[in-house]
Amino acid sequence: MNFATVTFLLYLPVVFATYWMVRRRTSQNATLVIASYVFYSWWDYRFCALMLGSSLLDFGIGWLLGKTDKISRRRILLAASICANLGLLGVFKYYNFFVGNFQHLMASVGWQVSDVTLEIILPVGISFYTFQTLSYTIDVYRKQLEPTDNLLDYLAFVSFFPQLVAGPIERASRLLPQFEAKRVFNQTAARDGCRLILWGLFKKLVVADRLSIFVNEYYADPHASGSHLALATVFFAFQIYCDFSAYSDIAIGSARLFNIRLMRNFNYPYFSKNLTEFWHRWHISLSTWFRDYVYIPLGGSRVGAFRRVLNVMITFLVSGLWHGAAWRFLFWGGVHGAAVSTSSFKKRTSNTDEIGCEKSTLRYSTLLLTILQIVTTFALVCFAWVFFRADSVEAALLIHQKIAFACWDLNLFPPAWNEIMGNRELRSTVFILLVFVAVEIAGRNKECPLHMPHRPVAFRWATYSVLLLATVEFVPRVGGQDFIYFDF
Amino acid sequence: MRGFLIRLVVFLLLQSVVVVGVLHFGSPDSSNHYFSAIVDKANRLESVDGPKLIITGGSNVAFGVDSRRIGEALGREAINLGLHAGLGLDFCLNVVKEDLNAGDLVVISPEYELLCTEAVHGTPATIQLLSEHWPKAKKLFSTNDFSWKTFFDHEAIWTAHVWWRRARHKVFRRSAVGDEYVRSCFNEFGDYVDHLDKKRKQSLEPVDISELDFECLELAISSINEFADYCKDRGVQVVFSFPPMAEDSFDLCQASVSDLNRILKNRLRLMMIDSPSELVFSETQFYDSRNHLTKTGRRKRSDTMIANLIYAHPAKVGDKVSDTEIK
Repeated sequence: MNFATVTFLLYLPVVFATYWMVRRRTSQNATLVIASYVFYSWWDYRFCALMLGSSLLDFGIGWLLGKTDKISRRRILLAASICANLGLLGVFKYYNFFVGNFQHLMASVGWQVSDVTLEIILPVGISFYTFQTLSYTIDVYRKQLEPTDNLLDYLAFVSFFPQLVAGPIERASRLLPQFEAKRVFNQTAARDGCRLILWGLFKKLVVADRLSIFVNEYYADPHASGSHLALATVFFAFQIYCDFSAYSDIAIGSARLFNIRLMRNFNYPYFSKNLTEFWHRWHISLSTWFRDYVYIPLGGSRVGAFRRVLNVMITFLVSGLWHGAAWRFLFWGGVHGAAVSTSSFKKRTSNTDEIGCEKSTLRYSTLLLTILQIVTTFALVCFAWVFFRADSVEAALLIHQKIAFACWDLNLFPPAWNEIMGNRELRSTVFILLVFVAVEIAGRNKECPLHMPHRPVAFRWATYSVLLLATVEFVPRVGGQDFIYFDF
Repeated sequence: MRGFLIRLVVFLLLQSVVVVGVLHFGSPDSSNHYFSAIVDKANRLESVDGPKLIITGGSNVAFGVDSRRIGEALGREAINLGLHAGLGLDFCLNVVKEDLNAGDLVVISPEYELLCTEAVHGTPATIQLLSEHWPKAKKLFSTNDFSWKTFFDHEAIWTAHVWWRRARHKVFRRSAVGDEYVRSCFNEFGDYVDHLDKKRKQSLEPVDISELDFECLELAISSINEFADYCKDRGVQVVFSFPPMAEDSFDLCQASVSDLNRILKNRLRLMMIDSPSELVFSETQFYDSRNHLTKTGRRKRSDTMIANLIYAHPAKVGDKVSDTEIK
């Protein structure tokens, strides 16, 4: 079930009402589990069996880990959990990629390997809930978390529908205790939740889906000029941000209606002054997951300079591969890895610790310099987005080449400007985007720009009403399409 | 909890003022709704005696042919059944079957989108809307797969948008959006005529069908062939005519249009009376979309159709007419 549909807007109040009517903790968790499996089966009921299987396995492993202190046995159990979860991902997400590349490699040395690729449907959200269950067993193994012996609580933790399909990827240590505790209705949280849902719907239906029209058009056009592709890339940067952060907002907002707090996933990432900061603000739940379960176990920053760079690169390459089984995602991860390595290496030599965590807050004296840094970071992020969005690495390189030629010929802005001026739909899309950026600038210190506690009720309600009407007014024909991160 | 619910209900009640306004002003005038014209078309189809000329397709047919003149040229009573491409190809064909007699002549002229894109199935919201105006229509959709799940998952938000815009136009501009699209603007033959003396709308986007969806094309071919066999069994002659296309659209997707023409020639079991290049019009001959011709474009297309039908008419039912014969 897609958040940006009327189906979800009708479904959520039904679950909300049932959840608060039953009152008892166990019944509330049972309500959430049933609601989550119905939510998930909206795509394909067969996916539910996979999720249930994965949940039961990790619950069992967690339970066994709690029963033994023997190191070797604990290691075997952890290895079993890792193999099972990554195996699941390997089959459903990476099998064809690796087999295809293996065949290609063999063919290049003259060996023909028969075609053994499979027609596999990628279950929605598999990467998200797999990582969530994996974090549970790892935390139990590390004894950072007591294993739960309540299956219902655990199933609620894994399948919790607001964050099931595209995150935020929650840690068991943070989310599971919330399902184990008694919950009472929290009016402030519920109101915050409604605001987040409204803002998320606007971002998705109006900004992201409108931008997608032009991004799809220009990226699919083999004759698109460098100028148009540059415009499409900037659009894509905002499309993916609005799309994904909208999902997170609706997820966090929906969870708050049940008085469950999910972690913040985005913190105005395009205001970052460098790529390290960008990764502290973008898809925070995933970047901290990789930090805790990949980067730090590899040695983190407590190793030599070369090894540290290697660790960063490995972390980002794995992150790229997590997004999809394609070389372009690896390139995307590689670009970010290289840039973050460089900046963290520079910082290391100038009194900084950890990946991207500044110890001394360098305050830049001029606004101009800050803007320059933000723009440069944004340009670098856009450079990497091309790999993410293009159909292949070759296509991405061609796009870069076209944009570079347009820059070289000093012909980057005029064609795009003419296009904007000559196309009414495009003009209104740019206008909406500028309004959105202005709202983001104004509300950059708040979790949700609609949070205006000091304004009178009439003003707040008028704002919400205008936003609702604006959503209905500006939603494009393709409004309500699947979120981009459903593919991952 | 109570405080939250009270606030929520009050807020929703305030919103419901807007919703009621939208429902009131945005609801289509059912008796004069564009889709209600199907009732008149169906009545004419049923009431005309003698050999008929039936032209069917989407709105390109409704807006773009002078069926009265074509009928007169062929000595037949004409009925224009063209209405809306969003109803899908099956509807365009099945609606003709309502009243067919031996000796009738059917011209199928579906939009390009109905041949080689997902549009072949029609859109659930459009199908639903037509069914509201003409309940009989439900049986004419072969898929007939309207479901509330599909509607709420994919169409409801857009439907809300359409109603809102309609209401907004009616309130602030004192007229409904697309006021010209009403039942009363069709003539007795089923041709849409209100736009003929109006100024054309500027800057229309070209239609791009440079990528054919072969799965949809296969479906379209099989539907048309099935229909042609149905007609042949009843002694009805059926021919295919391409819809109009603007020059800029033709330049954009000439290769795929040519492929489409070749495939249709090889696969359709009926006469094709023209080729896509014959139906290319200047951009200025389109009224408010790349399917709706202006008065000049309509005249030119009707002349072409008359000439081609007169030329093709002697051929036997179900025979193919070669390219050279057509020319």
